[in-house]
Amino acid sequence: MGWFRGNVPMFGSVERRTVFATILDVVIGGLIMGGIYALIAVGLSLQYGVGRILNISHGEFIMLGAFATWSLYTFLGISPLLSLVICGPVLFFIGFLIHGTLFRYLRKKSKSAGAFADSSLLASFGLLFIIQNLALITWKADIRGYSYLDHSVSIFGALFAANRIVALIFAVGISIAFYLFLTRARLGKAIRAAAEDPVTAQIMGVNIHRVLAVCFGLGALMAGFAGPLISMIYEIQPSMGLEYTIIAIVVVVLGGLGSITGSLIGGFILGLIGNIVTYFDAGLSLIAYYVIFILLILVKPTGILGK
Amino acid sequence: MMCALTLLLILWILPAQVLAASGKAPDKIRIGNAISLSGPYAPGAITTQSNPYDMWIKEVNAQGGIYLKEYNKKVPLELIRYDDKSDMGTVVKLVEKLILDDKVDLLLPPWSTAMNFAIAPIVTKHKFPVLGVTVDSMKLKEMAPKIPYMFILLNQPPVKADAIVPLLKELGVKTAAVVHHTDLHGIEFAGHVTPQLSVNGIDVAVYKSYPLGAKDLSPLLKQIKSANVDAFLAFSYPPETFLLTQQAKAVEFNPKLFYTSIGTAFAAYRDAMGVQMVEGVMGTGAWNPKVPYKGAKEFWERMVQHAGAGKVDWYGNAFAYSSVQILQQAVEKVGSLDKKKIRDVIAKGTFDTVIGPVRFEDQINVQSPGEVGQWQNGEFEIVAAKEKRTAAPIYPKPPWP
Repeated sequence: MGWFRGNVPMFGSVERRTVFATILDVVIGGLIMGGIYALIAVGLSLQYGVGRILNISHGEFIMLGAFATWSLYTFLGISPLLSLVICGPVLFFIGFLIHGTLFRYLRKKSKSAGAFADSSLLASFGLLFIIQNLALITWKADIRGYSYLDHSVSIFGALFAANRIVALIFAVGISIAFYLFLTRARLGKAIRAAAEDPVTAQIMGVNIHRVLAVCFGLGALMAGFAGPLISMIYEIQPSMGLEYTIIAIVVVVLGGLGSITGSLIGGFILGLIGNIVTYFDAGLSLIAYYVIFILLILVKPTGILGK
Repeated sequence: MMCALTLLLILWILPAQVLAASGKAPDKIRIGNAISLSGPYAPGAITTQSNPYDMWIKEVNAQGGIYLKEYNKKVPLELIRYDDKSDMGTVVKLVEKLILDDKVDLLLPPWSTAMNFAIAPIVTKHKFPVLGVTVDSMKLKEMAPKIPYMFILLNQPPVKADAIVPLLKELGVKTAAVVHHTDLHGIEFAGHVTPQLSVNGIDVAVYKSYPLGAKDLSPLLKQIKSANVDAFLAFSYPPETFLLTQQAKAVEFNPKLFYTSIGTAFAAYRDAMGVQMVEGVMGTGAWNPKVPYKGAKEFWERMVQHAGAGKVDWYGNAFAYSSVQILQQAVEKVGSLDKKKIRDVIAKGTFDTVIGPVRFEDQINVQSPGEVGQWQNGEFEIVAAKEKRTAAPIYPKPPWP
């Protein structure tokens, strides 16, 4: 392979770019990806941790949020950041309704927790196809995208698209707010109680059906926040959902099943390592995700913060 | 008794077609099409292929159908379309269903190289001539003799790649960076272009690959930026074409020549980025209504009206449409729906289409309307090869807005 000069030095050419700026590049870039991964994963983690539903259709809710944002921006000129406030609550409501009807029914009919885990997994597969096909009918299968805050921002010499920085800020802000809600608010405590021990929580006066439906709704809310942020950064299409669901599952397992904090940490770890590997060899970035995943499963099968 | 049995046997053996041919004309020509309407292939399949097919069927039927000399009658078309869900197993089953259950008369191809490869053995087995459009692989040349019923319209990597190097030389490019995805298209394309660059005195300072589905390519772009090259060449699929463009702007990577391959010619690309931002961006394969071929301008007006200005493909649409022009001309020439004869006419003839006079060598189209395109004022202009130009290339590309 002597016909090309593959001699790009490890840290760029030092005379032009300082090592410091390069490290910032990689770290902030990793945090941006990590923030988005964490946001996606937190929703899935909550739905699984409390409701025992491995929601394969999680990514479809993200897709709905992304397409709603695209439509609002392209046709009505509504800012994607405003869409965040619209999509979140709307998807919460949809999630709440789906749980209150479909999953509540399945839960009633299931003989055991294991049977419910199986049937809810299958039902969420069904949801995936239904939502995706509804989106195909509504928006057709074309690739869509728009430009919003796509100018560059310099952080100590490291350059990033403004929309990515905004996405990071929102992702971290939403995650922290969500964490505080779970640990401080009364409803948050009820959710955690239901996750720990649903039977005792019910005896203590927690309306378990309502809490579970709220949990599923909150998962959809997180997807409703992630969708608009993702649509600011990437092109979108109706079949994009599963890709994000898979990332979310990897992050949730990495962080520990059902642990919200674990999902946050898992998301950032995946984002950071992914970006570091991309810097050295972009060809290995996706492989790196799964290598981390396999290594962690071997070393600590319960995940970073799993019990 | 023996006589009766013999008679029965003869009637039974007598093929249905013979009886039909001696009878009256079919009331419809049934056209089967298994293509991706959902799944990852759907955006490309609908934009590039199914839209022009639908338009063609509407146009032909508005004129009463295709003239079949055998019956001295115009016969309208009926489309039977199934969604292959972007799945290779499904497309194979659906094409067999179209042939055996639905008993279609003609077939239109699915979208993507892999899907066309998948159906090639079946259409060959059942002897259905198929004019594949979006197939991009050098492996086809070796396979051609084994799949005599499969034809390919799209110009293959060597044709499109061979025009890049002379263009770069003409523009005075001294150094280049080449990146490609690790799917067949990227590997073949980059592997073909990169050695030629070096041979022609253009220094390849960076040569890197990335996986399909990459979500952040800014570290790669920052590295290339620090290598300070004149030209950036990416052999990419639509998702990365979008990502690379957006991230190049974000990291203020402003090479004098910015080239991405698949998806660059989509109107959706221009519309997502804005006319100002894509100004000067080059992409693989080019066609536009200014080409000197008969009917090109009128075709484009109808295409834009049919699909919508934001949903046309400035490259693939003309190829998909030319493929059905060829099919129609071949059927009219044969004057019946005899598939063997149609195949032979396609293999040997030259056809006037919106991409020019198409002729097949080893079932691969040798006519190419343009190899490199460039966005200029919201239009995708042909800038290479030199003699096919519809506009002079803009070099250096203006910096990102």
